[in-house]
Amino acid sequence: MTLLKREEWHDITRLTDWEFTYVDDGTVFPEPMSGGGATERERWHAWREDYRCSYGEYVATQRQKETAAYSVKAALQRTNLFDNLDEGTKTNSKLHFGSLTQIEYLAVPAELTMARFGLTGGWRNMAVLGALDEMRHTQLNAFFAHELVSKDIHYDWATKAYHTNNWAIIAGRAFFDGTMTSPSAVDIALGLPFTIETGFTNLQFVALAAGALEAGDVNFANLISSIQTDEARHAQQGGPTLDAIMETDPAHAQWVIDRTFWLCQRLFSIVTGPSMDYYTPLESREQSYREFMQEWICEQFLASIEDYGLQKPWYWDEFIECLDQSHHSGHLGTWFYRWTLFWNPNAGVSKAEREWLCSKYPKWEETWGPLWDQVIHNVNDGRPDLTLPTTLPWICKMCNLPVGCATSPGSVNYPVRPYKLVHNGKKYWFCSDPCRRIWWEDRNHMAHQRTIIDRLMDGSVQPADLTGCFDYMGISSEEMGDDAFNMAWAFDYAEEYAARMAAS
Amino acid sequence: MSTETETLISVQALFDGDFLSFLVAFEPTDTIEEACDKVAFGVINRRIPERPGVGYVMRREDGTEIPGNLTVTEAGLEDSDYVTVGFSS
Repeated sequence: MTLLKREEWHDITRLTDWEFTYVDDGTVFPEPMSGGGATERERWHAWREDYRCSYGEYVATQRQKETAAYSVKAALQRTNLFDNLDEGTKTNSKLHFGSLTQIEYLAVPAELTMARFGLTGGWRNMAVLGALDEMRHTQLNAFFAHELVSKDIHYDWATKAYHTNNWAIIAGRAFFDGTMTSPSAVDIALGLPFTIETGFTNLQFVALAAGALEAGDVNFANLISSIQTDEARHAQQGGPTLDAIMETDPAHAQWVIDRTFWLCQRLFSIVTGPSMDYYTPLESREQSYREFMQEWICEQFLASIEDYGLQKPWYWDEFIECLDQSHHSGHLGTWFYRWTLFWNPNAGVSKAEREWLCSKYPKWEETWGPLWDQVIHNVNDGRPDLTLPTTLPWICKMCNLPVGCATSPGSVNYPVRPYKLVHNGKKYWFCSDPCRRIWWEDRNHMAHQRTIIDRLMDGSVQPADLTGCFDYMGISSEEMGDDAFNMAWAFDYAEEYAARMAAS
Repeated sequence: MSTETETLISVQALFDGDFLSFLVAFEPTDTIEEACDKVAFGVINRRIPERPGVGYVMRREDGTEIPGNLTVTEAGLEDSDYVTVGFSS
């Protein structure tokens, strides 16, 4: 029997809409859940994904991917590959597993919202496959991390992290809940597949896999590559949805994409920035974070939104300038507060690494050098206690990251300072003007979010000091992050320290 | 929940030249000079070197300097206020 070609039958199975007679359309697709706005229902039937996939093809392809991912893992499990990895490379995978495993699971209901409330059959079918993808990613991440728990307790955070109130996890939860849990199907498509996946993670995963492979973490590279190919497919839901919304409500589309991009890059600055510029072993670095962001994120994102008739986000100049600053600040902050982390940050400022940083960021030495020099002095002086904080940083009410780490000391245009807003008699503080503006627009939802500072001040954290914070954040003494190399990098500067002390 | 923190005044402080602002709790009876020391404790010789013999000044959000002999209560500082501290010269 001759089989029909896929294109000859596929529309029959992907366009499954019909006219309702017992209920009206708005009952089946309520506006708060679907979010189609003024776009005519008929318009949604023109929704087209570029890369089509039947369920049979999906299952066959996924089976191959699963077989490949797990067989490589099984083979490598018998080697000592992991034991010989650089500590910075391990830090990268710990950071990934802890911050994203449960987020992959959160993406399942996000995809299912689109699978139920998406406004045309083709979109709903694609979202069903997306939900299956995200379930697979959760399982892959959890399974790959689980094998390593016996070697390093930080890998336990692949499943533990989002069940804690760790400050970094509160930041992740606030962003991803706001992007994936509460919005309508249309807003999820604009925020998740279009902005986060097409704009950030799809490209980041390519870089992350390449970097891991270069650093010898074949297992992790294999895992990320397997996930990335799924992302590339289900991320398609963004484009056709944006196309439809642009015809009736371009301002809304612009707002959703602008706010999501800003908040996503804030998280990137504290996760991907330190990972690329400080944790990854020097010999394995291909690009700096700024180069990566400019080439892969900025250029492609701008080209992409301009193709759809959108404008450059209002904060673009600030964002570009912050690419030189914010992740260095985020890195110094996370390193200083390393006892609150579920990974071991590599300081990444040995002499050779510092030279690399200065070659990539001409203002690095002037801005960050003096602050790190004091740290280096303290280590060589036998005062590691002075490399630790005494209290918590103030946290931005919107992105939940420390106030100050959207910029840098010495920045003329965006100096370190909080941005204030008074609402209903209460003071709110933000790391940047874009965070303040986003909070204001979304205030009905955001007023209820509590930063770790809010929790400390309202008595939720007891005792109200750093010890109480560790307990509240679920960090036990065995789990507290520490310098990845036990400060060995600082002894690069021992001669300078000795000379300075001799002269004083 | 009744806690000791209810008697403290928790503010956001930034030391000049530092890279982030942080939470500091003052006693209402602390003088501003003592409050400056509490802010400096989290920064000086941790990220910024000390300047022997040089004191500190505290400024309000609008940049006006707060006299060092006032208490925190007399200065009118409240929870969630923002202050900056820097070297006095």
